[in-house]
Amino acid sequence: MPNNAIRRLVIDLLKPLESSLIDISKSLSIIEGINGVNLVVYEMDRKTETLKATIEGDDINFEKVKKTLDEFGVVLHSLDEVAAGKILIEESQILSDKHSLKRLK
Amino acid sequence: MKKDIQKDLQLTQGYENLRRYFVMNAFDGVLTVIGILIGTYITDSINPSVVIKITLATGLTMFVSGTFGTFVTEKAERKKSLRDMEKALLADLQTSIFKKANKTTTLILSIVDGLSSLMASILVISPFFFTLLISSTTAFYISIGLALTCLFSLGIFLGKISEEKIFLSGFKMLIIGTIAILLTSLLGLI
Repeated sequence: MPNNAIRRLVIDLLKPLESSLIDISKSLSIIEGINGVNLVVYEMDRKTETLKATIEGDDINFEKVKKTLDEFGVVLHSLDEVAAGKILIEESQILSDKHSLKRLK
Repeated sequence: MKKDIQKDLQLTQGYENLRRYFVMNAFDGVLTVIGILIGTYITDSINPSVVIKITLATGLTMFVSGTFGTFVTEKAERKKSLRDMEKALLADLQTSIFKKANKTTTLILSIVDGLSSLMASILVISPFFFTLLISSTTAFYISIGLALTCLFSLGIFLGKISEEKIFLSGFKMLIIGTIAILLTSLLGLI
């Protein structure tokens, strides 16, 4: 595993209703370097679903992830979290940090 | 390959259309042959060779019409559906599984549409292929029986899909076939 390997990705995605969440998660999880995938739907309309994808692994290949998502017609809205390196570092929680405060609540 | 086709059909809601095209066109095929058979009966021209040739000619025309008609229609509809999806996602889906799935579904639906009417026609007139063993009149009555059996079976199939009483559904289709026979027979009174 290289020192600069991507260990975690949290992505905001938009997918067509017709694409199966199960097929997408299965296809992502068999990509080399990925150990696990978590897909959560948090918004839905007549034609699309918005989801948050959390992908963890030893060396995630972002291009392969993007290619797989493209095949399913899934659009990448934003990259919300990236963790890279030899060890997985969680976001630090400081009381003065407004974002952390919300989490602590 | 079978799994790929199944996946493509599932992705594009193709199974629903497949059932619809199969039943509609098999129904058309059977009723068309009923018309041909009653026509030969009331004109006193139950000639096996004539019945077979007319039915095959009609069946082949329905096959061409069904296959190409459905191909052109489904292709246009699915292109529109893909464009609508692209608009909703603000993305290009030309390299996605949807493009391939649409192509597969269009092809399958076209073939089923064409083949179902042709196969139904051939099945109904199949007794006429054995007129060396049975008389033309016997072949006629067996064909009518086969036609009504096909309609009843289609009704049962529809009943299973809609989870209604299957025999009632079959019986309804039988009545439609009987009405077709009676109406075309009335022409013999002219």
